[in-house]
Amino acid sequence: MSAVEMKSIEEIEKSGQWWWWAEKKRSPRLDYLRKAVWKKGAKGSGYHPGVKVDLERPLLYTQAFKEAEHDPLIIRHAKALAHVWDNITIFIQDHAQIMGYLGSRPHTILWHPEILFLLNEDLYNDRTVIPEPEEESLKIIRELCDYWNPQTAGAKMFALMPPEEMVKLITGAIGWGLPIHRIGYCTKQWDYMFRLGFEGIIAEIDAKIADAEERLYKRVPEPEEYVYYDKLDIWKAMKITLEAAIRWARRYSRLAKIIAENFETDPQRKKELERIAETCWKVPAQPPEHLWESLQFDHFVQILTRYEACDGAWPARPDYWHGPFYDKDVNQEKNLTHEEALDLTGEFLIRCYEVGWFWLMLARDTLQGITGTWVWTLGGVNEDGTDACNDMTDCLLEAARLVRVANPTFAFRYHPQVRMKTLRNVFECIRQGLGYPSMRNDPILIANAMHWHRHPLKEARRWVHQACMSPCPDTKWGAQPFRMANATIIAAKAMEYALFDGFDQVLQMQFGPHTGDASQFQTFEELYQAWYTQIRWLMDLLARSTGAGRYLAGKFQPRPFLSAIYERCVDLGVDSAHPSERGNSWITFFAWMETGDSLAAVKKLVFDEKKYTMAQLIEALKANWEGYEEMRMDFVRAPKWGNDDDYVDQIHVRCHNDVAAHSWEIKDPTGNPWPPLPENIAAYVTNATKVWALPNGRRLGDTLYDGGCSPGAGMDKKGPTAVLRSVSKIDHVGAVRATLLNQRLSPTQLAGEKGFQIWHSYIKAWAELGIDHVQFNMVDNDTLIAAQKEPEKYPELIVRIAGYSAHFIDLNKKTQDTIIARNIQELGS
Amino acid sequence: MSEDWAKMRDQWLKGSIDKGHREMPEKACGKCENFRQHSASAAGDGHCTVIFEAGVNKVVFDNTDAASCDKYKEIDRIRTDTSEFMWDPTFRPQRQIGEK
Repeated sequence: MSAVEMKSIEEIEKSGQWWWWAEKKRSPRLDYLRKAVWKKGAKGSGYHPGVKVDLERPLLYTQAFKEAEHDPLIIRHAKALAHVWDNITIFIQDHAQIMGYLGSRPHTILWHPEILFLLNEDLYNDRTVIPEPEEESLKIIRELCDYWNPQTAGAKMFALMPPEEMVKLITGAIGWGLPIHRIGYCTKQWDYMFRLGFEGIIAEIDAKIADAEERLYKRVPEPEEYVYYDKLDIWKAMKITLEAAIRWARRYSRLAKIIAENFETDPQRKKELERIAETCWKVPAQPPEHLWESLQFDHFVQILTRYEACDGAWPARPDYWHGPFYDKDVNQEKNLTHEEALDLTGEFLIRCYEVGWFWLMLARDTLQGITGTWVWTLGGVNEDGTDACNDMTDCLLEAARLVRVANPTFAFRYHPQVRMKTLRNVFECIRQGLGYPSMRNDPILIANAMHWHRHPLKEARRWVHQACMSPCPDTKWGAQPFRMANATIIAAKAMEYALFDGFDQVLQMQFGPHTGDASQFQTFEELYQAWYTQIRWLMDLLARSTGAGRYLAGKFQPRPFLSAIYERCVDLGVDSAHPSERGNSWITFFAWMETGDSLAAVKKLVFDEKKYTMAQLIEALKANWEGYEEMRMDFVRAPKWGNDDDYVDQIHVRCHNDVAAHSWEIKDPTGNPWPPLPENIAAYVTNATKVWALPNGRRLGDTLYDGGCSPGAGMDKKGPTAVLRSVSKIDHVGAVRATLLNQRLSPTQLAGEKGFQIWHSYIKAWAELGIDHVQFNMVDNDTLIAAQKEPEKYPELIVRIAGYSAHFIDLNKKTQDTIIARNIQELGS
Repeated sequence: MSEDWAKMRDQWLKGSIDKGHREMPEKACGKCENFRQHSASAAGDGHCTVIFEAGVNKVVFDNTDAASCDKYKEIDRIRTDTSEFMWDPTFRPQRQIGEK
């Protein structure tokens, strides 16, 4: 027996080693499932040993796609998907109660060869994930690459883009992601699916088809009715996928029945398998009536959409949609105990954690440790404004502490009426070092959704996280079918370009517009206007390419299944790409807060105090500060964000307000603005090599600021209240779509009831100041450093990065070091 | 200038779509400090910061043979584990570059 196994729960609690606590507390079933799960996220930027690409899906998809070559494009994709679901190998894991796997084996990750030729070539050159026998697999992969590469969504998109813009985008120097809709974030409409089930949706589609045929075939159509030829194809494709999805689920039902009747000897497990058989026969064909059915329905849909394409985020509000079933089964009808519900919920989280695919290098390292930004939304209010927290909210929070997965993570919609029992549960997750839930200010974000995208109040109250941060209603006209990560700029490049007349110092290419020789600038205003020109150019470029990607998506590669689960698309007979929802666009700003700090430093040292000239500054920056260390330290010591200092804070506020104003001048295909959303995931590390030296004192290669409105590491010297005061100067409704604040707290200070009271006071102050987001790391440096030295002893130690959490040992050392370097705030100081 | 950008795009598209299996020559662009990998693709494509063709940077790949290039300057490799993200180069493991 190991030393840890001999320790009592109380001793482990005292030591703060919550991962051992979880192992002791969770049920034998959860313990088995948690330990059996394969990690699909990358460690640093490479996959874990043993993880292999699944070749069944691409082979089956391609086979059917080729056979259907004379069909309309959307029907071809529908038939290809149906062929996969009818034939891919399925399996049932020991002790599992929730079915549905992405891939034909537990250790496989999916590869979608129809999306992007770069991804395909990346795979062909990767020798870690090719399944055995390698030579045979490589031959298959090469054939698939040769067939798909020229007709991937990426090849079609790049061929249409203006050459200059395409080249600039592909360098990765100014943005992140690519304008390809099959790599998107899809907010799903659960009220539609849970109300009708897939059979109910098929019935609606049948009625639409009958109506269209009446218009087209039974009489001479009116001129505007010829569009029904297009709609007919779309409805037929939707129906093909929905019927195939039901068949796929029922294959699990039959398998469970076969095992139960022929092989299972344990009577308890036999009973479980019989229930699995009943459940998978019923959902998603029909609406769920029990918790095990609603969770199974939900998971099936998530897996099905990912067979169709890479859904890089997992917008969900599981307590809102599954809460009524928990209440019915556990509290009212008592046909499920809380412990049984907890087992189901824990497995529901694990099933999500195991989903993975082969992903481009740029995504692997920027999202190191996870496979996508799967932030689930908890809490908040109902449509009528009352508290939406329920027993399922608590069940999910409790399950999270037991299984300690890094994906999904939670974000909690905090509002003044939130029930105390749930808030304590939220705090317990944070205190136990999960790094989640992040805290979201519900009234602010509801107002924000109404301000930017005109969502009515009732729908705005239905918001979920579309990715890490941005709220999106999950309603018929509010749910956004996909958001492309491509609308992401590396904002600090605008500062670099303003200082070097649009020239990229890292790539040695002219990128931005010419805004003049900065060494000749005579006033701060000249520099500011040069920066404003550069940032608008960046926003326009990304908005333009993302808008084009959205508009052209349905023509390049329609998504029949995704379309079939939106009421809007079924009603209108359109592909999910059709921009007929209310809209929810935003531009993510990576590396944003360096701008205000840089401008403030120049204003103070060059234009106010005249200690240096612009020419001297440009010389020093060109040299990457080498040989100018004394001067660099002056710029480091200049006023910095996060200290409640109006000199620098008001420059930041002006920058925020000016980019917000420009957001209204550019429109997406739904007619909505492109508000800024500053945050960083792990890009504050990976982009460190893409941004040249800046006047805030950073050198090329130094890590960037880690949040969206977080101060630079070690720059916040006046405590947590000063940080909040600085951050509260931003208008969190009108100037940003959202913005991310990282804080580190002391686990020692926040122990026990007193710790909760201190944290609660902080949260109340944060909410009253109108700040939309804050998230916490609560692991001390001794533990983190020990985990660096002996990672095998800290398998489930989790930290918050920026917008997501990851197991600490799955991060590269540079990212680990940035977590350690963040200031630990003493609350109440 | 737009024709030059078009040329650069076409070179890149062709090279990336038909890339095939990479073999890394002894002296390869990917090992040169003047090489910048296009990090949005990670398929080993990039450009040279010192050689220009018709006004724009020359498109090269990490495995482009640099044996006859007079601008070739091998990077100074830093001892690190291969999961580490280091400057310079940015994507060391992808470039099949052994560690010193």
